[in-house]
Amino acid sequence: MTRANVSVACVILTVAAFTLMYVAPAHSYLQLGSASGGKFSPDKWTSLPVAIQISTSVAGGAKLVGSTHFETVIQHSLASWNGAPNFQTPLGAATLDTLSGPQNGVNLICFCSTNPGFSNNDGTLALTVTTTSGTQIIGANIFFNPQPSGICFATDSGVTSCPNSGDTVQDLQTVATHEIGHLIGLDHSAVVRAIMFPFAPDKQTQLSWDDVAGATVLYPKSAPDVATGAISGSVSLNGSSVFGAHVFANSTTGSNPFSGFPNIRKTPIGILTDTNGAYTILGLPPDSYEVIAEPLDGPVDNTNVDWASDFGQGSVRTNFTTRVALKTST
Amino acid sequence: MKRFAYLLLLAVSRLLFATTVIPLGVESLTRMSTHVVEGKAVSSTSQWNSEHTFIFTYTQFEVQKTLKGQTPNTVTVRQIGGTVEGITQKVAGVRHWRPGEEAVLFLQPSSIPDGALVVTGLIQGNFLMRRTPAGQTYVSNGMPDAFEYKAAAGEVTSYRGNTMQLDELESRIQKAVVK
Repeated sequence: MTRANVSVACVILTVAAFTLMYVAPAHSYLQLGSASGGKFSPDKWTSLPVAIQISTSVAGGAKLVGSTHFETVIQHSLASWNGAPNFQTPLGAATLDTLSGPQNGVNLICFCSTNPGFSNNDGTLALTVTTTSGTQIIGANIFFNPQPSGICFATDSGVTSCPNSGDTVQDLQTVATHEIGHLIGLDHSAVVRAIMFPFAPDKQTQLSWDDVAGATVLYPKSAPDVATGAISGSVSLNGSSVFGAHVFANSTTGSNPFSGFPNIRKTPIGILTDTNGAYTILGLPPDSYEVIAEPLDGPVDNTNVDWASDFGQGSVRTNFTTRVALKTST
Repeated sequence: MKRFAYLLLLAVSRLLFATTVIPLGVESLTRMSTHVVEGKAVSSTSQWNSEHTFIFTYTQFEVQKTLKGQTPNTVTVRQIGGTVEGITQKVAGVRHWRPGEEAVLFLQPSSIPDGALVVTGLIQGNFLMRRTPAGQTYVSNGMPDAFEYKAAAGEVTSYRGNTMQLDELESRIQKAVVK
């Protein structure tokens, strides 16, 4: 792991009220978890690989269209994560069953007739329920709403319209890949093209550098496919720490260190600062980057992530303007 | 954040993921809800369901104003997730209220016979209130309504989150109720 020479940032930014300066590494990424004493601890599975079951029993009336089976789509989504570079592959081969609802000790992905409380046409497409003991994830279920409002789920790209003329097509694999990110312990990301970005495009099944970084920090391969580095620093405004600033490293080159992994798209890698204003961006492949700090004020904002509540804060701080703070290489 | 974020946006996104929902407007939320109230969270308790598969959190709200339906002085609202005896269930995007928090709540009866109401649209019918030092009250359910990306300019020209002043939300609810 290399560490950027962030002392350069201090020189650049002393003219601004908003400064970055070097501090010891803190935590990184938008992961599900909790903070105690200002230190964030991510939730993660510790008993690996995680056994997943896919229910082939689809609730009656489910708005599922296409010739590809539901379970095949989910297998593709699982494969996207399992095939990510540097990822320890915590997700085991999924098995099939016919459960119509959750069961103790089963990590289920389903269009279940028994679910946490969808109501027809309530606008909810899917949700992931994770069960934790301390910071250990001990169970998870992904529920798709059989009858969401205004949408039908497409299991393949051959679907161009829904049976109900008022509905629009949503790619199932896109939603499933996002939800599986939650299942392994990732929260939403503020990086726009990340699969964990909270707003879904019609179809996006590739993982981003940001998704890969978040996942591999949780579950690193002992022998990484591609060596990665880190950038650390802190964000302050007029001498006081900025909590919850979105800091991301954006490549300034056209290179792609993950070129051997076609299912990965190049994006910035971003995190939020902790209560001391500190950040560490881990999982950066070798490249040149500019580091940018911006307020988390939309399209992803405080309400889309659990960061503030994890730290016992009411909200992240957003009363500053976006700054390009640093150019460096890992 | 908007400019830098949208410089990277290749396609306009339209849904909110995980909890993956389809954005609903205030008018739709009003139509879909049996009760719309302004309330202050007083207390919360969490418990397993009878099958021991889900933890639900029940929050009692002191009703300050009723905008739709008939409600008693307090209502109990159920949400998925919570902590019981060291075991926690979480759903990304579902936030539990803390005592003292105020919200405009779009509610409907629970499918489970527990006497509680649930938030319409799972998370969308929960508009948290925020008061400014200047005395204004804003409400937001954290759901951006609409935005526009101009690829040629590489910037967003308009973005309007589903955040508004309380007066505007009340007005839209009242108009939707009359219709």
